[in-house]
Amino acid sequence: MNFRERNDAELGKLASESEEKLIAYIVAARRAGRSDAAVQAARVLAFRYERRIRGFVLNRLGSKGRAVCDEVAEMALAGAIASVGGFEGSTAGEFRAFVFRIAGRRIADYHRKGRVEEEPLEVDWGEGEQERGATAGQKEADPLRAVDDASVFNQAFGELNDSHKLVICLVRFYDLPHKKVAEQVNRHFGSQLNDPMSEQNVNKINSRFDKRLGELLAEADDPPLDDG
Amino acid sequence: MSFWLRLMIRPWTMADVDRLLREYIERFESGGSADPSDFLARVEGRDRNRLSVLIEGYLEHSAPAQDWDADAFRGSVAEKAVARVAESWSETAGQLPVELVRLRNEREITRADLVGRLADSLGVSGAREKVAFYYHRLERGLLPAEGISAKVWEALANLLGTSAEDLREAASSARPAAGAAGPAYARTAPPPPAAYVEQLNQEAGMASPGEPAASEPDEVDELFTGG
Repeated sequence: MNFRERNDAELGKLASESEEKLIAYIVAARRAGRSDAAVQAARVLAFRYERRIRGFVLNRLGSKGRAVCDEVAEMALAGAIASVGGFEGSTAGEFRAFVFRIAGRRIADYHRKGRVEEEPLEVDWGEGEQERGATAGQKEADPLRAVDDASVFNQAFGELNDSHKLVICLVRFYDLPHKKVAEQVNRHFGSQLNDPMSEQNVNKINSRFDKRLGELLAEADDPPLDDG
Repeated sequence: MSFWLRLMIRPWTMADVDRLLREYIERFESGGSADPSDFLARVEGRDRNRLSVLIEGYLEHSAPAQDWDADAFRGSVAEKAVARVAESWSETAGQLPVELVRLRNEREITRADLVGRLADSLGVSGAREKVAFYYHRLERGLLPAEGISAKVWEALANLLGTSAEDLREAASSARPAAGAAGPAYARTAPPPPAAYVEQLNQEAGMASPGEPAASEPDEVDELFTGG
């Protein structure tokens, strides 16, 4: 089997070039029976997500204290790494969504049970697409279940097309002026857009997104009455 | 201007939320604490929820990945998480599970399909559920290889286009994962739990067989655990 082991520096470089390649490397290492190499690469992958996942958990569970949050983050990262075999050939975005979804699940578990529960890891050997959903880890990648678990942000964000998503990211997270946002979106999507993005479009998209977030937050505050 | 003074002068606005979000992003991207609690503490009610939701969106959709740093990794949450997984990976460190999945994927045979064909090859077509139970354990590195009969090795090798010897060799370094006992377990393996059989059947698209009946080892037990 053609498997070439890489050192930490090479793995770091591989990850920054493409997370898909890092995931493929982990799967290949395990298929070649090189658990040591797979673990080494898994360290790089887990570390890439650590700050983001800790921030995510602290954002929702901060009042429970640092120790609880770290334990929940640890469980989420472990679950994601254990399931990495099912993500061979998937995009980095799909894996990223999966990691955050698992973190959301672990947080929900904590809220439900009032404690961090040890969950057995379902190790994924990369069974192939037809059999996805066979393991607990893979079930978590089920898009139908994902809808139920979507965060308020992801619900509103998920209703947008790709060019509008880019608008929101550039306005909200990069703090770019609307004119620059329109330029960037036009450069990125080019002929895919029916009409070029204008400053006014950016303004409207952003306002509509804010309104939608407000609606969803209000719904979350005031859940509909149970018919029963 | 102090927090309390600002609070008295005007209510919090969306602009405050945006400003706090930007401050959080700046801190995060300059390597500061990822904990947003101090920012969340500066707003209340729906503004607090809105800030929390936007921080969540930022972390998932825009925040940069952390570049590899061996020193920072030591003692980190990521290190503990990987240690958990490494344990389970090494528990199934034998090559057989890897080899079975690889061969199956190469030939584009699903696990359910292989189980059906294996049951047929072994002449136990009526006990597909039990074959599924054992095969699943075999592919997960949970079934001691020494209990597997020559007939099973041969049948698997034929179905996967390899030799029984190669499969045995791949299995030779395999050891059962924690939770499974040694060979003694294999020889007295109980029938599969009903819930587990049901899960396997759903995966294979089969009707539920109900409670597995065998209390005494039967032919399938013998094939997979009798050596």
